[in-house]
Amino acid sequence: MVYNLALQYVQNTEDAEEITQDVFVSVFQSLDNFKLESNVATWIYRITINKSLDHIKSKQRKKRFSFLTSLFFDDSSELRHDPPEFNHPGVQLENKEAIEHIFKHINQLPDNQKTALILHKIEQMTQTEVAEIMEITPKAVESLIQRAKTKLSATLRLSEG
Amino acid sequence: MNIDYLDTIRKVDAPPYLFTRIQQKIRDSHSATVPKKFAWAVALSCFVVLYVNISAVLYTTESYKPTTNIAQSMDLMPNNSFYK
Repeated sequence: MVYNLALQYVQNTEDAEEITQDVFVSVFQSLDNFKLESNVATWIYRITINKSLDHIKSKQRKKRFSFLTSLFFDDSSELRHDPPEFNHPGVQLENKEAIEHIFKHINQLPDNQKTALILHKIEQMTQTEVAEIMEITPKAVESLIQRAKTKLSATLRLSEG
Repeated sequence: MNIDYLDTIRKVDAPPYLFTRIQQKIRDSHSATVPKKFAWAVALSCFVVLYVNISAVLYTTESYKPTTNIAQSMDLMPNNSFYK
């Protein structure tokens, strides 16, 4: 559950493994703060989403920093850290190219639209389940998914020319 | 391109070594945690050092006599005027 969700966010096994480890360490450390009235799975899903988004942001920061350092300190002006390659074991080989392309556009979506789309479309959750995890109303989830799909279709159409 | 391609993504099993790594990381994080008593002791020591420093500075500022007072006590001219 944790590993698969992290994988949908980062599309890379190494990063997903790192996030999974961080999630369980976080769960272990904050077990005392866990309120018994809420669902354990929902709580772990929330931690996974936050850790995944934090991981992506930290990677982007590192990428920007490496770009700057390569500009000023490297003679060859090459990037010191290559962008992570698409490595999603859940994707069948014949669909790899198409899904990689779709994920490139999903990664451009705002965080809440991306989360709603991943949970509903890829993790096959109902809108009520997504609403509980995201702490919003099912109506708001529906709206987020709709906006994400519209935006995604538009950008995909544009990229195809 | 259709986003329905996303429906073809299958669930995968986490690598078998991941569980061991998580256990190790939890063990490491547990041992790296500073005990509360030690943290409080460090905080108290810092407070005492800071308090002693501040009070020392305040005490020396209060007990410091301006040069004028010293000059007067020694019957020295506090200024450059020769005529009183």
